[in-house]
Amino acid sequence: MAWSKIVGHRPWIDAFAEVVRRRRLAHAYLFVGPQGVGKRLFARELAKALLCEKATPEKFEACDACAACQLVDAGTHPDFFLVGKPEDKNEMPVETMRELCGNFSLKSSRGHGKVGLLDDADDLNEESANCFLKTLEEPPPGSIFILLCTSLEGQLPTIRSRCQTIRFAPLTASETKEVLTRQELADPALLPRLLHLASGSPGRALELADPAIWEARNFVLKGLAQPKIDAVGLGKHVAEFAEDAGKETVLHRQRAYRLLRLLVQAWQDAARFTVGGEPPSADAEDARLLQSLAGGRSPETFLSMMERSLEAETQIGRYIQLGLVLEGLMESWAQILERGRKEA
Amino acid sequence: MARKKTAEVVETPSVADAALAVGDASAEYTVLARRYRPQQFADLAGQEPVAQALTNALKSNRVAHAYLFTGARGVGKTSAARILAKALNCDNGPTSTPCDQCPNCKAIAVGEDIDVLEIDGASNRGIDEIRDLRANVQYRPQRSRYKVYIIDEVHMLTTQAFNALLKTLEEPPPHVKFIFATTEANKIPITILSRCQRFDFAGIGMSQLRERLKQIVSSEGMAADDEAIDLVARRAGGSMRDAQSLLDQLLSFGGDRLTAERVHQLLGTAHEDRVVELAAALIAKDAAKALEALEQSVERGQQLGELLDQLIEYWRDLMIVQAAGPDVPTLSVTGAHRGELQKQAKAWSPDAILAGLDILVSAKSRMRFTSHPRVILEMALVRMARLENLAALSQLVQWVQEGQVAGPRSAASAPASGRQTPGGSTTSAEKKKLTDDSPARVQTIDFTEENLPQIWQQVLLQGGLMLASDIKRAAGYAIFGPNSLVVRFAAKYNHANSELLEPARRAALEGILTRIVGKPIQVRTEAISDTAVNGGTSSASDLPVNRTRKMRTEIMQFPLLQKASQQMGAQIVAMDDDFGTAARRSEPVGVAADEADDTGEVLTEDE
Repeated sequence: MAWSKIVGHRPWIDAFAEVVRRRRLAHAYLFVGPQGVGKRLFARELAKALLCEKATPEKFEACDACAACQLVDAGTHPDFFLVGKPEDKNEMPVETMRELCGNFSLKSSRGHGKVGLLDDADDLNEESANCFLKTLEEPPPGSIFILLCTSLEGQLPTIRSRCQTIRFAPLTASETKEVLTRQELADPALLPRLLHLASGSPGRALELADPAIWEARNFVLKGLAQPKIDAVGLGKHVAEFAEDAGKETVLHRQRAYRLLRLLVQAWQDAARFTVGGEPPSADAEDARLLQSLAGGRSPETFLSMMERSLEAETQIGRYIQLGLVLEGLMESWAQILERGRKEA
Repeated sequence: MARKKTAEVVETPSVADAALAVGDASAEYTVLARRYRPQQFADLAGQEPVAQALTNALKSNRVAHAYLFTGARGVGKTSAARILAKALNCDNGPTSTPCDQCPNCKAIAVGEDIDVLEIDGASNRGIDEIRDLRANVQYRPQRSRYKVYIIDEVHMLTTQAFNALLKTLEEPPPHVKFIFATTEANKIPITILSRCQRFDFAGIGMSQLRERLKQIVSSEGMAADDEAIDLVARRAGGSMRDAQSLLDQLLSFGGDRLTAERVHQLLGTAHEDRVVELAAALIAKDAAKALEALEQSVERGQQLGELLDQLIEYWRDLMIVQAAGPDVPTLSVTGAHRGELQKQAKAWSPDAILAGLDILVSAKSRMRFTSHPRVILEMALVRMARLENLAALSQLVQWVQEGQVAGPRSAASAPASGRQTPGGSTTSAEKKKLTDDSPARVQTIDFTEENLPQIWQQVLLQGGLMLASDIKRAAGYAIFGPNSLVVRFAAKYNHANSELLEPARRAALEGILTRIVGKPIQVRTEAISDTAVNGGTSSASDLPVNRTRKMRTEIMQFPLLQKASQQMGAQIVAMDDDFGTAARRSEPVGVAADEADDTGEVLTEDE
C-alpha cells in the first residue's frame, strides 16, 4: 500500500523491514544517491512507517489511515521534523540545525519516538554540520535521523562516520519509464529522449521535459555544426532564451543550467562517437547530427567542450552575468570545434 | 544497554496490546559504536601510548588540569576523555582502572553525570556560553572529587570564546579538569595549545581493527568471512567508529553470514575483478571498452565516487609495486589479482603511472564540486586511455648520452599532456626516418624543417610560371604542423596574397606539395607587416624568417642537439632569444624574440 508509491529501491524496502524485524534499527542514516531518484519519497515513507501507530515490526508499512500517518502527510506531526535549506539561502543555516537538535532533546509528543528528515544535507556548512555532531552521535533513545545527500564526498568525515550509509542506485530504464509515464509530459514525443538523458533519475529528466529547452539545444547544435560558426549570433540567441524564462534571475540561471545539461550530454555522446563507441541514442536524426559534429574530430576536442561547459556552469553558480557567460561559452565552443577540425 | 519502554509509551492506547510499535523498536537498539565504546584504558585499541601515559599520570598522581585529545574521527578521543573522567571520579579512585560499577562511573559512561559536563563545542561556541562556564567553574563538584569539563569538537569555538577561556584554563580551581577533544587541532589557537597537555591519537591499525571486529561479530552471535572483515577494516581507514558503523549496517541488512559479496553490494564498490578489468582497458588504451565498463558498473549500482577511489588506490598500488617490487602490501586488491597487478605495473612507465594518478586525483577533487560527476569520471578515463608511455626528461638525456636508440622513440615524440596523436601512427614513418635520414630520398622528400628549402625548390620547379611568380615573392615559409605549411607575404604583396587565397591556386600548390612529400599538405597564407621585413629593401637573407632559420642551423651544430636530432628525431620547438652562440649577442635581441613567434618557429612534430 504505502510502499507501493515508491518505484524501484525494492531491496532497501525489504532491507529496512528486515532491520526492523530484527530490532536493529540504527539512529542515523545517510541516504546517498543522485538527484531525483526518489530518496526523499523513500525517506518520507520510512518516517511514516516508523511513526505509524498501526505498523508493527512484523508488518513494517505505514497504514495511511491512523492519526500519525495523516499528521505526517499533512506535515503537522509533532514528532516528525522535516528540515531543509530555506529557499533564499545558499547554505544550511546553523540556527536551523540548532533548532532541530533542540527539538530532539525533548520527549516524543506522541510516544513513538522522533524522526528527523534532513533534506539538503549537501548544503550543510562547517558550522551547521559541526553543531549537529554530538546529537547525531548520541541522540536520546527513540530518535532517528535521516540525512539526504547526493555525494559522500561533500560530507564531513565526522558526519559520515556516525551514520549508516544507504546508497540509492539510479533507477533502471524500465523503472524510469514507469515514473515518467505516470507524469503528464508537455510533449509526449520527448519521452524516449528523456529516457536516454535521465540515466536513472526521473526527477532530473522531468526538469528537462520542457520542449523549449530542446528547441534551444537543437538550435545550438545545428549552429555549431555549420562550417562557419556564428558564435555571436548563437550567444545572443541563447542568452535571450535564458532571459525568456521569467522575471527572476534565478529562473534565468535555472534555464541556462538545464540547457547546459542537455548540451553536456550531447558532447558526451559525441565523444563516444569519436572513440568508436555508440551512445545509447534516442533517435536517428539526433545521432546523425551528433555524428556530423564528431566527424573527424578527436575525443580531446569534446573533452575540452565538456570542460568548458563545466567551467561555464561554475561561473553561473558564482552569479557572473549570465549573458556574458553564455556568449563566452559559445565563442569558446566555436573555437574549440574549429581547432578540432584543423587538427583532424 | 537495552532501554526499557517508557511509561508514556505503555499508556498509548494503540500499542497497549502485545504488538510493539515500530518507533519503540528503535529505542531498544543502540548502535555498535555506542555499545562497544571502550570503558577502560586497556580497551582503547591502537592508543596504547596515550593509555599508558594517562595511566602513569593517574598512578603517580600527576594528572594535569587540561588535556587536548586530537586525532581522526572515531579513534577514541571522546571515549578516552570519559575514561579519564571516570578514573578521576570513581568511588574507588582516583584509579587507572575505574570500577564501572559505582553510580559515578555509570553516569559518566553514558555522558549524563552532573559533575562531568560534556559540552558540544560546536553548538555552544560563543563567548556567552564560555562566560557561563567560567561563572560555574568556581563552584565545587556536587558529589565527586573533580568537576570535569569535556568539550568535544572544541575547534568550533569562536576566537573570542577561546580567549575568554584562557585565564581559566591556565589556572583553574584545583577541583576542575578540562578535556578538549577535536579532529582539527590546527584550528586551535596557539595560546590554548600551550596551556594543555596534548595527546595525538593515531589511526588504528588494520590488525587491531580486524581483531576488534571479529570480537564484536562473535559477541553479537553472528558469523562473518575473513575476507568480508578484511574489506570492512580496509574501508574504515583507521577509524574504529567507521568500522563499527559499517559492521553494524552489514549485520543489520545482511543475511546470517557476512560475505565479501554482500559488503561490495552494500558499499556500492566494485568487485576487484571489475577494477582490474577497467585498468586493463585503460592500459590497452581502449577508451571505448573503458567507458563500456563504467556504464556497466553504474548500472550495477556502483557509486562513481567509490569507483574513482578504487581506481586511485589501484593506481597507487601500480606505482608502489613498480617502485618497490612485488612484495609490498597493496591496498586495492588481494591475493588473486596481484599477478595481474604486477603485469600491468610492468606495462607502463613510471611517469605514465604518475600521470595517470594525477588525472585520477584531480578528477577526485573536482568531483566534489560538480553536478556532473559522471562526465568528470568519463573524461578522466578517456584521458588515461590516451596517455602515451611517458619518459622523464632526465631519462631522455641519458639516452642521448649513452647513444641508445632502442625503446623510447614514441616517448620522445610525445611530450606530456594530451597533445599527442592517437597511438599507433608513430610507427612506420618514423622508423623509416631512423634508418634513412638523408634529405633526398628517391621519390619523396620528408616534410621536415631541414628539407624545406629543397621542397620549396621543387615547388618552384614544378609549379609552372604563374604559381612560381607568385610564390617567389613570399617573404618566408615554415612548417606549421605535421601536415601544414604556412607561406608568408609582406603586406605590400597583398595582391599576391589574395591571389594565393584563391582556392584554385592554393589547391594547385597543395597538390604539388603533396606530390613532393608524399602525403597531403595544407597550405595557409599569412601577411606580415612592412616593419617586420625592414621596408622591403633588405635582401632575402635579411628577412626575419631567413635569419631565424640561419640561427637554427647554427644551433643545430651543437653536438648534443645533433645527437638528439639524429637519434631521437628531436626538433627545435622554440628558441629563447639569448640562447646560442655569443656571436649573435650583438644583434638586437628584441627582434629575434619576435621572430621566433612571428615566423612560425613552431613545433614540428613529425608524423
